[in-house]
Amino acid sequence: MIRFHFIIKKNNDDKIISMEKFWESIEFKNKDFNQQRFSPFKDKLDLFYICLLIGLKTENKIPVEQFEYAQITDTWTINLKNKSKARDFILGMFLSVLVKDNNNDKSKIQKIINNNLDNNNDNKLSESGMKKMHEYSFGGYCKLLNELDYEPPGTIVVLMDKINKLLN
Amino acid sequence: MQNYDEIKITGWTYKGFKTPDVSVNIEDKQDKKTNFTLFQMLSGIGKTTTLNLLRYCFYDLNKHLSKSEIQNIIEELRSRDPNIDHGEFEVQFKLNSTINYRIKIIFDYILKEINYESNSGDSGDKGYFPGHKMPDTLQRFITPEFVEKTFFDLRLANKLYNAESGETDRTIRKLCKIDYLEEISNSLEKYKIQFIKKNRGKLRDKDLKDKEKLFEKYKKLLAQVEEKAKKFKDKKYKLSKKLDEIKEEKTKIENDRRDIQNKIRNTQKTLDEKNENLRLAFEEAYDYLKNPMSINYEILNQFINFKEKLDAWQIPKSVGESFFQQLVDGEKCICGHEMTDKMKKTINDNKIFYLSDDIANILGPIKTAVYNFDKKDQNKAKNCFEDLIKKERESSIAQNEFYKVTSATDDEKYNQLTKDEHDTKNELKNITDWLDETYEKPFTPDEPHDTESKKTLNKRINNLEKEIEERSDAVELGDKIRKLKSLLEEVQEISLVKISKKIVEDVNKEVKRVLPLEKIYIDSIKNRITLKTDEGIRKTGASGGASRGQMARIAYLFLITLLNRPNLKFPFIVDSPVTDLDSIGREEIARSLSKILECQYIGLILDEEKSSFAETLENELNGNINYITAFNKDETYPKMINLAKEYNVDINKFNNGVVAYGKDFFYKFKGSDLVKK
Repeated sequence: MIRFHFIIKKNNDDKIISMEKFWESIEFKNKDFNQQRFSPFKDKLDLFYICLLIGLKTENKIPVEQFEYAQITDTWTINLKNKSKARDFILGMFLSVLVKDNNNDKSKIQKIINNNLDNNNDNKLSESGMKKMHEYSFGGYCKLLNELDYEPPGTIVVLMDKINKLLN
Repeated sequence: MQNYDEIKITGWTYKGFKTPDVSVNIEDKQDKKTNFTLFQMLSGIGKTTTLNLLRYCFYDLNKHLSKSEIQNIIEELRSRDPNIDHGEFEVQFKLNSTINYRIKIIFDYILKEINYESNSGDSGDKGYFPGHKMPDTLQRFITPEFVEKTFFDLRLANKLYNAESGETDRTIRKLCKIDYLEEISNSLEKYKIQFIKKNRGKLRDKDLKDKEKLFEKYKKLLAQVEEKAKKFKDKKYKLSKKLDEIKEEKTKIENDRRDIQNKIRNTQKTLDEKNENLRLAFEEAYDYLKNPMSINYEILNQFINFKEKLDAWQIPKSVGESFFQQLVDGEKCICGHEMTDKMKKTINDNKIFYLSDDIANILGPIKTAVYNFDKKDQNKAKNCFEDLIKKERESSIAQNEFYKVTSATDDEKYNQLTKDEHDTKNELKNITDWLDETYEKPFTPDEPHDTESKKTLNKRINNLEKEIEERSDAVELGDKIRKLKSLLEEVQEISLVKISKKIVEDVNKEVKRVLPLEKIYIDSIKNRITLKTDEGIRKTGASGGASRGQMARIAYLFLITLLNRPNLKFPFIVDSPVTDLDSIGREEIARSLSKILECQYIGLILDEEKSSFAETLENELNGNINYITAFNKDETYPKMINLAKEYNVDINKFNNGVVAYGKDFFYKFKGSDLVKK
């Protein structure tokens, strides 16, 4: 797994709607008459990022083998990479969660960091790091869906409110 | 002996619709050639309902529309009286002046169904057969598309100028039967299917059979999706036009009421401001999410602890790969001992515990970001998320205030228009979204099996077609058929170009007479009508640089020219035939109609359309016109009844309506004088 993916379905769990369907309900749509015309979410990776944030904060991860998934993009988007530095922050948060249980073993921490990062990839993650990151993002998505009663959010405010609750 | 078929409508009867329950007879005198009828109704009495009911009698709605579409039609046309459980409309017509036909369409308002009864020959009222039955020789010609153009609503003439709808090409293909060449293509396809079926028997290839099934399934799905897209494009055009009309009407009312307009402007300004605040708040909230440390202290501390640990262990302190390589390659270790194989292996195994230069480059910015974080941001983030609900409420209040102000106009019409505008926009949006984001979606391999993406379906069909041909030894045949189909398509295109060229020439000949002052000509009818000046300069802009009147006149000429081509004289019925036209245009259109048309003409006109148009027709046709006026007795005013009595019209013939025949009553019937108590 070297690219970013969206969940299509979760095996043996029909409650989990596809991330594509969820995305359609929150993405920015200029022509829309509801809150989507004000949505700050412009790229699919924005949803992946939000879910990852939730998954890392709540330490909720689900093995990717439990899902059918489809590729969305190769690399971090400009919005998450350049000005905002969101990529650096989320990588930091990702590593801090990974090394959490190895507080006193410097060599193990260095090994974990080496195994999960890869500067040669534009997304800065090794293949196994990418897979782990997906586990947290998919876990975060399921957590978010649970909070929304397994339906796409009615408005962007509802979505923001749920994200805020899950992160606090 | 005539070498064409001619249909002439001789009358119709309404019962249980929005129109009055009356019968209308159209005189057909062979000697006088009375081909022209002007049928007059006031606005809102049922002109357009009449046009639609006449259309629906000439083809079987059940074969062309879905259940929900039929239900919509029923709701649109049904009587306003809830106690009436069904509606019946019967049209009578003659084929080649001899055989009488009757088609009855029955609307069941309870079961929401439409049924037909037909009567052919001269058997009179007896002998109706269930179902829709048209003369055999005409069934092939009288398609919904044909009927839609020959029974035309001139208010929709603008569609001919709209590139997206491709209305001109579509009309020519249908009316000049170019699309019949597609039937040959279909026959070729059927032949190939038979060939493959035969070969499959020899091959005993089960998988091939499955692929064929899938191929047929996708083809069927593609046809359904294309039909849906066609209907959606038509609907999109109608809705856009409706929206323009609503906006125009609203603007008119707003201009009439300047004070309300000011209030509306102010509330609109507030609404825009509050909406913008909400948009900015969303952006701000997401910006905070992009920096997780700003969300709460728990996450912040997690980052700080992580950074401190890295600092304490001097991570990232990188050691380059070359250092380990030099060490292993050297004879002695840096401690001075001889380098053994065991030591070399240990160094290689353990170098993973040291960060490489590359990894250090990733960690550096992370640590810097944590170091530079401003803790004050946390309070701001908290406030920002709390403010979202407040800002949403403010936007909602502004929205309600906007509706309240527009509703407080005491103008029911304006309120209804606002509601209609909102509903129409929503409907339009759904249609546009489907067309743009689903139907035109680029090919995507992961699309579900029941995808409505045209490109994905086409790709799958092409792939399966090639696979089936290869496996059933039909590659050569497939190539030949593709070549033939491509030739047929080419023939269609060439025919379309040639016919279009001839139509443009014919129409432009008439333009000189119909538009004597403006001299606007058709430049092209490829997809839509485009216009040019006398000097050949192409007109530009949404309306093609012409006035509404000019556009209507050109559209009229286009249709008349086109309808004169088939070897079938079918009635030309036009709703609102001279709406939007000035007096010169009306007179010239009347002259053109009288000279060009060889088929029956029925104009469904408003009383205000008589001026300049009816008089000119009267003069050109030496008075050979059927004048018919119909009005509603229940909702009408005494002056209308008194006028009818004055002209010896039988006002008791029908329960809730009156039908008056004759020129004198027709000209005397003026809504603005009669609709007074």
